[in-house]
Amino acid sequence: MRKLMKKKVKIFKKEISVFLIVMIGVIGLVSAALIPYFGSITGSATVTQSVIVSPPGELKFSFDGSTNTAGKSFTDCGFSVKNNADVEALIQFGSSCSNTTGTEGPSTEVDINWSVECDGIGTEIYGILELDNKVGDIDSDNDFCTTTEWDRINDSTIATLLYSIVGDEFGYDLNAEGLMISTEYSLIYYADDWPGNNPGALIATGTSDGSGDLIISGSTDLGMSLPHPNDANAKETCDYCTNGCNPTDSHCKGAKIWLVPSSDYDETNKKLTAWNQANYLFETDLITYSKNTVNEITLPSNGGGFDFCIDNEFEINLVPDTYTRTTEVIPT
Amino acid sequence: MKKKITIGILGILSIVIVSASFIPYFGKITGTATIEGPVFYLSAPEDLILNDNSSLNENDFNITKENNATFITDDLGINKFYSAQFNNFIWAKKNNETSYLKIEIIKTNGIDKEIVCDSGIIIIKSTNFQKQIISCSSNEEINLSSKNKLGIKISGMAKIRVGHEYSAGYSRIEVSAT
Repeated sequence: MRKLMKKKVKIFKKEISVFLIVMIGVIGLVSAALIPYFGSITGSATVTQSVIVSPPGELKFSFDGSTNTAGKSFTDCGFSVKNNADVEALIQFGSSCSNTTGTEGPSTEVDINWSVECDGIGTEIYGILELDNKVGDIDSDNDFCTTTEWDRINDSTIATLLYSIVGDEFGYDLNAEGLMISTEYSLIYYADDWPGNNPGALIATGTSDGSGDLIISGSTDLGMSLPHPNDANAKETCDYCTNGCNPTDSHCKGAKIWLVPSSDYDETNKKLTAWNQANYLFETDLITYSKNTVNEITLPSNGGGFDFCIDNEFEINLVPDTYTRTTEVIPT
Repeated sequence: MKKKITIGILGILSIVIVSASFIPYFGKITGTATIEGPVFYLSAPEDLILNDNSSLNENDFNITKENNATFITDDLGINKFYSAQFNNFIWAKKNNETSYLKIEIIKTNGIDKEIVCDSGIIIIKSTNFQKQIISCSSNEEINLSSKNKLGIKISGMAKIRVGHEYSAGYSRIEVSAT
């Protein structure tokens, strides 16, 4: 031991005691044995994407890879966005357009008149919803659906509504057929529960022609986003997708849009005054509309969303070139 | 001071690491298309039909010193058109002598008209309709704010045929950028 204490080695031309080196080593070993913590809590989770854009996979516009003469328009539908999170999600559409000289955008507008690289292309993004007549509530139980209740009736009575997803006013373009002839109809926001005035809204009225067709379009200030928080289909207790009435519908929270004869609707109090189900066209899914001018779209939690279409118009004065259009659904 | 700088660097690093885990988009739709200039088809009685040759009306026009023909589009709904070359494919013939055809590309509001460009071609004597290619260029952007229809005026001495499909296509105007 004494020898060890006296023994020295040269490190970088300096003599250092071997004992000192051994002591430093011992302290290091002792230190390494100290526990780093008194306890630990861990957990692993697989996190899936909250907002889903479908159909799944790489999505392409129908004009992809084609050669076209200027003056053609393309409408691509069948897209859907859905929020699976248990909190609201804020999204925007981010669109860009490029040709061989550069890129224009991204733009968060849903109605774009490209004016620089893509001057001559117009892009519009809007929601789409079918309204249909449905089988009656045969059990008259009002709150429970059998396998046949509320099924769509496969006949010639149907309507397609194109509508604004976001904007200061709610734009609508309704094309209905198979209605009662020469009858005034009201396009309404039916806010559950009965009689639909929670708070509900009249969107537009129009009179069907002698063939039972009805076309109405325009925009109106609803004074609110859809669904309204007081609507039962906006609340946490919403059972739209689980009550058995709407097994094929995609979106589980949102607003119901109906087309009903005006004679059954109280425009002042925004409520139905009668129940003549055979004469009504009901929602085939719930929708959302966000009233703002900054193009922010609020998706209700637990299944809120909408189906949408994108129009791309290549106007006749578009300079011949190769153009790439991209639209992204982006988190805000 | 050193402590503040260290905290700052750590903070930035943390933000970079956290940001890297955010997805940039939930979904994406793309498409690429090559766009060519529009095609206007000549159709009887005196129409220029944009891009659609499915329902053209066939007719022959006898162009003489006294008779010319002017084919006009519908309202195009645009305010301007890029500097363009108009390649005019006209099926024409002159039976007994060599003759000529003159074309004028015009813009009009239906009443007033203005020439955008013009050109002419010699028609070789023939008993069959032959494809004549007559081109002219606007040399500058075309302002259509007050005259929002385009047209083609055909004058000279020949018989022309429109709305008839030949293997080389119809009588038409193909537009390209200059």
